[in-house]
Amino acid sequence: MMAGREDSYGIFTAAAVQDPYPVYRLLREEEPVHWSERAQAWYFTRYRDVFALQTRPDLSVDRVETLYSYLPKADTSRFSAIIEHYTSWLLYRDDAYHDRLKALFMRAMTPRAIDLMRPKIQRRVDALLEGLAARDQFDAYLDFAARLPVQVLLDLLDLPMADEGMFRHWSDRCSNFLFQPVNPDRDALAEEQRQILDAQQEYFMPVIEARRREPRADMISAMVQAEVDGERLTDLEVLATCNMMATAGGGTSRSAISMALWRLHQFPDQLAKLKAEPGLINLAAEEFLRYEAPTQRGIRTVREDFEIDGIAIKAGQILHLMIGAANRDPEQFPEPDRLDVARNPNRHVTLGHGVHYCLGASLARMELRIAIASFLRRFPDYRLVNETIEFMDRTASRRPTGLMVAVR
Amino acid sequence: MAYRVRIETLDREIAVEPGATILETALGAGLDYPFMCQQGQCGSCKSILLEGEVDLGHIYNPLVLTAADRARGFILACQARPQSDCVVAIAEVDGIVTHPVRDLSCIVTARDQVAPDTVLVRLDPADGAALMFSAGQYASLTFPGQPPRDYSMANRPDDRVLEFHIQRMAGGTVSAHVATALMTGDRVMLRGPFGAAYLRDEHLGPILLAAGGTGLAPLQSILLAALSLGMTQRIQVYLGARRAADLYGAARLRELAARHRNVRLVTVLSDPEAAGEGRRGYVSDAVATDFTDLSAHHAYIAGPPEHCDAVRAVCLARGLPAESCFADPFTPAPRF
Repeated sequence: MMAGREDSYGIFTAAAVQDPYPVYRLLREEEPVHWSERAQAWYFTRYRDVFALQTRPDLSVDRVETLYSYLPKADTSRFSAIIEHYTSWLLYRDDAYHDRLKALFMRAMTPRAIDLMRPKIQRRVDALLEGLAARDQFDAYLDFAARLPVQVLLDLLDLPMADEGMFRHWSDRCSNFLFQPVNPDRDALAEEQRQILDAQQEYFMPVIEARRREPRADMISAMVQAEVDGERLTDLEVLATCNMMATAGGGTSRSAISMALWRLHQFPDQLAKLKAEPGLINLAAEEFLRYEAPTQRGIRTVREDFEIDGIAIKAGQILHLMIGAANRDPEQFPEPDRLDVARNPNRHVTLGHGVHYCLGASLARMELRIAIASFLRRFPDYRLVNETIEFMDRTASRRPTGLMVAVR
Repeated sequence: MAYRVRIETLDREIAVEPGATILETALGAGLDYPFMCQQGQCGSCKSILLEGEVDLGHIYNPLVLTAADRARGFILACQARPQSDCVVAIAEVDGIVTHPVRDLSCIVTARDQVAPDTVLVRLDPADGAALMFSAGQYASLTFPGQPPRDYSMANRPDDRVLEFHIQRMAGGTVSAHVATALMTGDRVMLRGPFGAAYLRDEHLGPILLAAGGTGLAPLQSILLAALSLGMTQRIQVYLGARRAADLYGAARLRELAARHRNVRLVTVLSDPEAAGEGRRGYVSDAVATDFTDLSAHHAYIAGPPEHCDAVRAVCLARGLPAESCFADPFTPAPRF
């Protein structure tokens, strides 16, 4: 059956979860501004549209309604804490709260701050790789890519490494809730969320209290002391922000690192080039982010009617900015399906622009650069045990289930 | 016709085609120019335009390249397209701030006796170029007919007019000149900035500022800069002097402490007979009494050498990591 307009060119199929790029191409070529009946949303797949919409200041990232739709219909009041928690994530906010927290993050994530984190990240990477060196093969996703961002986060929050496993579990389950499997069991997911948020409350409240009394040089201390126009963050807001950093930050970084190792291996000339010229890693990291964006869609709500390409977009409608499609648009990127570790310039849209530019972008880039460069130094002859990898069953994010590699 | 762009920091020149950015050309030439987003969002490639003209581009984050930055000649190399031959310097390399050292001719716009032996001098760079520096740095000043001496800027880096606190030293010819002969309208040559004890604004933990005498100048600059950047962590200021009359900056600090609840001021008088408010003894004693654990702090120390040494020793004994302790050596002798 030929995929067509009615089924959004096949975007909801299992095949598209594994490899969405043929569908993106169809959409971009046939109907670059497409209304999906099933998603009840507009899909934008051209680079120039995605870029323009990312930089448009009048679109909302508020997700309250979407979150309500994830909860069991019968009993929403039982789950109000879930709504309260996620609406405290600054990446779902458009208001002064967003600006207040953003100012704090920008200071914690300046180029200098990130540069100063480099030695610490390098030590974490080296220790992880050292721990894998004795094995013939290992899961580069689970045992490396997924561990590093959690460890870096624990450093940033000044929390013990012993809590790595727990944080990873929380971030896995929270991202599973936010990205919703294709056919979700809403009751089970919401119940699980309630339990996780209770556990987080129990874990974080004493920490927040202690940091307020005796501040240290970490993000939690910075948040409890942050103040704009005399207003401070509540404990729940601090907790929500910690969980956001773990889930939104950690989840995407692990995807980026593992997909880079996977894709690099499919382009042997590029792998050889990067090994021969390690100084290319900074450009290469951008190419990895372009080629496989961990977050495939940016979702926005229209506040005021506007037109694009003669098509009327109405207030209240949902827009999906298809990042993965825009990054492969031949109008912007010559030979877009080719991985080119020296691509320059490379203005991909993976980390957004303007007001909602990813606040962890610099940290994510530093982790990716160090992780890949160090991995190639340590295991220059790594091989994939399986050529294809399996992706988790979601469309808005791209996350491998594993990446077995053989290193001898 | 390509423009020639000289990158001082890397000691290299590149040819930038019309319409191309400095960054993409530098990367294409294999140079190790710092960058991340290439889209004006992150500030990694922030640079200073020393000569020439560029189109700044229009897609950049105004929080990363502020109006004040633009006025002071900062550009983002990933957005800047040369409109002439240019000279640029990279603003930060590996986390180290670098400002180009400049020679500026300044005019004395104010000269106030603020304490029995201390004069506050304001200098306005006369030829239009502002001094680019980081809060806490110093410059070498040459007063008319005098040898050069080092003094710290006491103002915020984005103020055009520079403020210096000059204490009369026993037998010091330069400070005697400032105390007795300097007039508004005099011309002063400035060379700078220098110094590594500048504000680390990425630090999230509490901050200790320990000033002795005119060591207040760089720490006042740091405090003003920190507050203007919205730093909300605890900032504890210790100001030491011999007598109450020597605490020339205390009123201004008290006013800041009243307006910002994260700022706390402690004054310490070393003359046991001295009248007036404040504790007695040395700043190092007060710090030793008030803190048990400084491991998460950043400490900035300025003033006479014995003050700096004593405070530093106390801080390290209270767990302050050596790399979190910032103090430029005080150099009363002329520099050659």
